[in-house]
Amino acid sequence: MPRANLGTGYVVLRTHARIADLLNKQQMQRLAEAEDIDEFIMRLKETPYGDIEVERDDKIALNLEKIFIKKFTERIEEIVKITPARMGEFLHAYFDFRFEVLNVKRILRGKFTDSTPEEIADSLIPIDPYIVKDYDELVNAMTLEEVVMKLNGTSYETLIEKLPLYKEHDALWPLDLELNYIYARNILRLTEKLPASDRRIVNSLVKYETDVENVLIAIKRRGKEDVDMESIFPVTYGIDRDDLKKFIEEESLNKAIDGLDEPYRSV
Amino acid sequence: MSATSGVRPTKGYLMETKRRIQTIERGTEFLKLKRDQLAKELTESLDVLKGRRGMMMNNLQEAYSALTAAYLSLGPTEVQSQTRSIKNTLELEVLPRSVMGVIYPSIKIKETPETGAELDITLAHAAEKVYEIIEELIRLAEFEERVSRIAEELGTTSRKVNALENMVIPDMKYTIKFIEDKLDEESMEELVRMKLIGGTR
Repeated sequence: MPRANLGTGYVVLRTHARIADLLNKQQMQRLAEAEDIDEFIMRLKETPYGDIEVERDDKIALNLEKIFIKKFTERIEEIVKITPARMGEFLHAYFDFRFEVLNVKRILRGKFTDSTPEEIADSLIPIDPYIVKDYDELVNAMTLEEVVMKLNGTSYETLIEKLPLYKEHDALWPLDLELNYIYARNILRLTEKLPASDRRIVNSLVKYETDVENVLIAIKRRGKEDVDMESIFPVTYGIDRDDLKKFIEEESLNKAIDGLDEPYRSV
Repeated sequence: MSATSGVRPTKGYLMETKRRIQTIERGTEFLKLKRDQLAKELTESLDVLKGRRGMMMNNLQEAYSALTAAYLSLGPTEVQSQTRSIKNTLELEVLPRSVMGVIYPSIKIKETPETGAELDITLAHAAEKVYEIIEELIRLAEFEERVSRIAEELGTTSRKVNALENMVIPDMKYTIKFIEDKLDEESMEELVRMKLIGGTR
């Protein structure tokens, strides 16, 4: 059914009306105070999540997380449905792409550590494929290289260029970082379809996300010498490579943060 | 069996026994020194052990909090997925070391897991904390084994000192006295015999 362009006010109103589906402060407090997982599930039944059924085996935390993510994606879908066409398409891409990138990362990790296809499939977020054709095809590939080659011709094909770096370091971070940038690049491209005012907000949001991710990566490499800045930080926005270098080299993190522009300086 | 059974009451045997008792007494003194040193080492080690265990409990709490933070931030599936990507494992080598002749195992860490680059920052922090705990546990196990072996050696040394002081040395002293008495008696008999022979002439 084609979506009517009813404006964001309508979406905000409809979304706000769904507040009853969320946990209120008291319910959250009661859940946090549960003595054990059984009591937690008992108390959960008194909330809007009451209809969930969870297997009480040794993977109970994983099972619960899957249920919550499913619930989350259902709610996102509902919001997307009532959102005006262009924004709706963007939101759909924003969330599905995000979850798919996570799934691709998990598949690559699974292959990297020789996990079984069952273990990999079990770790995936239960969503329909967004860009890849079929998760099963990737999960059942024999090697990590085969998974990457299967992504040729999709938005993920730049991963192929990172394979030599992956082999050189025998580590996943070159592929993980590339996936982060594929996500950021594509989301920024998608924002071009949005009205100018929305585009500005979403652009800055995605750029902030990339900047924060870059800083976290730099912090993890603190004290290391000969860091290949070009490979590790192929895309930068508000925090450039010189600033990121300071995060790796400066003795005090505060000093590195002081050198940044607002809003990062107030961290 | 009596301390004097099988004893030959001769001058040669007396001199040999006196030489042996001197060596044993010197050995006992050395053993006493070793016992005192081991006791001192044990007392000091127990204090260190107590302190290390206390520190370990604090660090365990810190590591547990860091791990909880990682679970809260990433969720169990992501934590499990990311931790699988750590390829290097912890590799240890156990070597013998010695303190005052007490041999105990010393653990050398040959290879450590490379966690930083592959994990999310919260999980990398938790992994760092957990690794610190593992390293402390290894050092604590090494230290506990050292303390246990020192205590064992202290027990053995004390038993040896007691046996030497209360059994071996008194027995030997008794043997010396027995031989000396025997020799005195013999020389007295000889003297009396000589006197009697002299008197009849």
